[in-house]
Amino acid sequence: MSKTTVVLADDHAIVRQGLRAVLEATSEFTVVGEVADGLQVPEVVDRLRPNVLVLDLMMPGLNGLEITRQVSKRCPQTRVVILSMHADEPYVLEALRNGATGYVLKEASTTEVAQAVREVAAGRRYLSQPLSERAIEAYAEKAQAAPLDLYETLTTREREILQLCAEGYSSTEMAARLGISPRTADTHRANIMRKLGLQGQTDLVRYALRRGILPL
Amino acid sequence: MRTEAAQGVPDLLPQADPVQGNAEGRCAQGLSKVSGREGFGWQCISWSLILVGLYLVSLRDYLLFHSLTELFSITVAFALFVVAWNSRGFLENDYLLFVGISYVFVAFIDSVHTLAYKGMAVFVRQDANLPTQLWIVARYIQGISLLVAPLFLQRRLRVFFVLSAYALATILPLLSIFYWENFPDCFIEGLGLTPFKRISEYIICCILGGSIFLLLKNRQAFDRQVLRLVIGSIATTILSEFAFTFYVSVYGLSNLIGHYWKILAFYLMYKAIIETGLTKPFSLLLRDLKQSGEALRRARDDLEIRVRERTAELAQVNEVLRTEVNERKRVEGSLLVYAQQLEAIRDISADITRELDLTKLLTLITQRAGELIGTGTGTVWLWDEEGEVFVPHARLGDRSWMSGWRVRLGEGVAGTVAQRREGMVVNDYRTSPYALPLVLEHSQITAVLAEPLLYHDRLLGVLAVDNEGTDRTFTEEDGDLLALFASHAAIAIQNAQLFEQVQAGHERLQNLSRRLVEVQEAERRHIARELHDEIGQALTGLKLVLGMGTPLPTDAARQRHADAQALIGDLLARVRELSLELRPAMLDDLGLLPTLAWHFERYTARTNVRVVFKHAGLEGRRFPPDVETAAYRIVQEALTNVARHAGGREVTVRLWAGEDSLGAQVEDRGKGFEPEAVFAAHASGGLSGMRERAELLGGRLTVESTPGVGTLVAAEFPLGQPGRGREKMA
Repeated sequence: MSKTTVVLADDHAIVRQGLRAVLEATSEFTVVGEVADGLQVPEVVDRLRPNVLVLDLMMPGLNGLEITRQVSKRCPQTRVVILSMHADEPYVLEALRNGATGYVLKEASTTEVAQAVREVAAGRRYLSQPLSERAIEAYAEKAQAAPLDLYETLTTREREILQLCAEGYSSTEMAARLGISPRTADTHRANIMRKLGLQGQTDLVRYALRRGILPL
Repeated sequence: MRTEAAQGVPDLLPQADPVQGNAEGRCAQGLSKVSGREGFGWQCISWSLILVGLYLVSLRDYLLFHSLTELFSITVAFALFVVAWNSRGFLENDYLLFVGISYVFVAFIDSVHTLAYKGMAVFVRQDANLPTQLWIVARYIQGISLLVAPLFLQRRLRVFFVLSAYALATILPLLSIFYWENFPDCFIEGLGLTPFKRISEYIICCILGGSIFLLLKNRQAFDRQVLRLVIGSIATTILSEFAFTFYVSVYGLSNLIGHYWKILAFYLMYKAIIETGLTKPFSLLLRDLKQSGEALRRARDDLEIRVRERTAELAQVNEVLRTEVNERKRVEGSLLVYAQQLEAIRDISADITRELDLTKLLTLITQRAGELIGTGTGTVWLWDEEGEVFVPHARLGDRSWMSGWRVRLGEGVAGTVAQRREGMVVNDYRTSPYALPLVLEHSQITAVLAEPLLYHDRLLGVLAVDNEGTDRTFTEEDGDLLALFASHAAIAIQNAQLFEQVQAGHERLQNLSRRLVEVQEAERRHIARELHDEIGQALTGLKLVLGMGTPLPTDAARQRHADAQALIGDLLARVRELSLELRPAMLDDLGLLPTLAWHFERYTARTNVRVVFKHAGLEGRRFPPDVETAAYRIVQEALTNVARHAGGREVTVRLWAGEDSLGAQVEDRGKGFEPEAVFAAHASGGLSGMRERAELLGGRLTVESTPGVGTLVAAEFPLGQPGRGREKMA
């Protein structure tokens, strides 16, 4: 069984040395490359095509998440293990979403790194001890925001104005009807257009029709 | 008119127009002289021959002599009538016409007389009484006619009436003599002339004398020569009458002499009318012409004099009028100029007080001052209180040599004007003691007009216009005008300076606020990083060191070791928490969306308030760090407020990103409050802070809250250029 090839990417030389020592202490792994600059990582990985990339999340030059995204895109066969100080779910979730397969906290014991590399090389996901697949999933579920209907962002007054505009009232007529100044009516109208991303009266009427503000 | 002209002629003749009048006079005189001088001898000879011949005839045959003489006078009378009749249009009066008409009737009776003469054997009666009767009738008619004739000097003759009267005066006596035969006897054969005849002759003489008297009375109506001839004719007639008063026989000597006188009388009348009417027509015409011309000339002279007088009068009135008009025009002109100047100053004042940018304002002031005074060069000097010098700020015309130049109080025209605090006109600048060498060297300035710019006794500077390149000088009026303008300009400058100060202060304040936020954020980020990265790393390292590499300690030591490890774990957690509180590194690392989502998790866990999070357009997008920070802080602050004050169990957070703006809303259905009151009282540092953050980025924040209904905090940030965005949002 051939050894698992590994590239280490971390801006701290001491960390790289430690990791190399830990990984090469076993006969399963061979470290084929080390990178200190985030920007160079994708290129090195592309060249060496390792089985596993052990990547510090906080790389100078290019953010670890971005590197992960690029690598998993360019070299899908290379598994990425993120080395992070952040135990917060968003980081883990972001890392996983960007294509990482392992997430190891720096505070975890060094033996965990070898474990993680072993796991990901075998095609399994690995998360550090305090993190759990279920917790992440639960978080992802909870943090899953509902898509916003832009109509909701309109205030009550803006909704009234939108309807009157769609019905073809002029600023002056609307102002008279709502007891505001025509200038205010114009401002409201401009705000509506901006919030809804509409470009003109035609757009506005089309929007109103689609939303059922105006009867079809 | 006729009388006037006729009367005027003899007096005016000598003074008549020297050329025309004299020429005419000479001409007329010459004509008469020629005829007189050349013909006089011949006339004398011919007259002598005729008279002698007639005498000889009378001796031989008195009847023939009588017939010849009578025929002669009859012929003359007819000729006289013909001439008078035909020239009546030219005659200046109807005297001669009347005489002519009368003479033809006289001649008619005379011809009857001739035919009735004794021995003619024409009529049945063959006595000497008949011809004498006819004679006396003719002489009566002649005498009365001559007496009446002067009447027609001044009145028009009515021809028909006169002819009818004469026809009647001729026929009645003839009827009396021939038909009725009741005419008094005039001659009785053997006895001679009757008393009737003699008395009649005297009466006739008297009548003729009266006619001469009347003629003389009206002599001015006649040419002197004509008058002389007419009077001579009448006088001769009188002589003839006298001769006929005492003849015994109609063939006697006295009869002969009477007939000679008669011939002469008719000849003189002939001379008067025929000769002056035919041989001297020029004289008559010219006299007429002269008289008319004289009248015309006098009228013309008169007219000229009147015209001259009237013209002089008019000229005088005109002069007075012109003076008045000029005066009025001058007053109106100066009023108009004054009004225009006031209007110009009012317009300019409105213009310059609108301008709040000091640099633009000063340029505008020099331009307008130049336009107002009508010059192309000028300068506004501003008083620099710190340096105690005047600095040329705005310059009209090419004044680049002035840059960097400073003038002290009392120096040059500007300095002097400032020191005296009153305007100055210097029209002899090149020789003036106020002239500055530098100005003389660099410019061709010949005249300067300067006014101090004073605002409530505070010296702001000096406004100066000058003249360069033309021979223009400045007047007192220019000075007054510029002073008026300067007073307005000073107010505008003061306003602009105050505005500039306020604006500078405001800008400084805003910069400070922004800087404060930035510094605060940077500091927090730094501390957070420091805590997390450095201290956290160190603690992590410590934990690793504690966990491995050392020989297993004793039980007690192991316990202590485990305690230490636990402590370090706690410490790490605390540090991490603190770091997040200060500034979530996640915001920089992952962006707004994951950070907020994560924050909501922790928020709900801590406060038990559920967050409904909805967003659009943010997935995978990053925004400028200050925008992300501000949005995060505002949402964080709003959520804190909700937890602290609203008392609701749920809050909705909406986040949306358009092409050029990012919006965030935090809405709760809690207690609500009076946002105006809260903002006005500055009670909520949180709300004010949020608003401040939004506005610093050119965005805005609105808070709508109704007690009992809930609160909506909405923020919007422009994306892209902060400056552009600011305008867009404003």
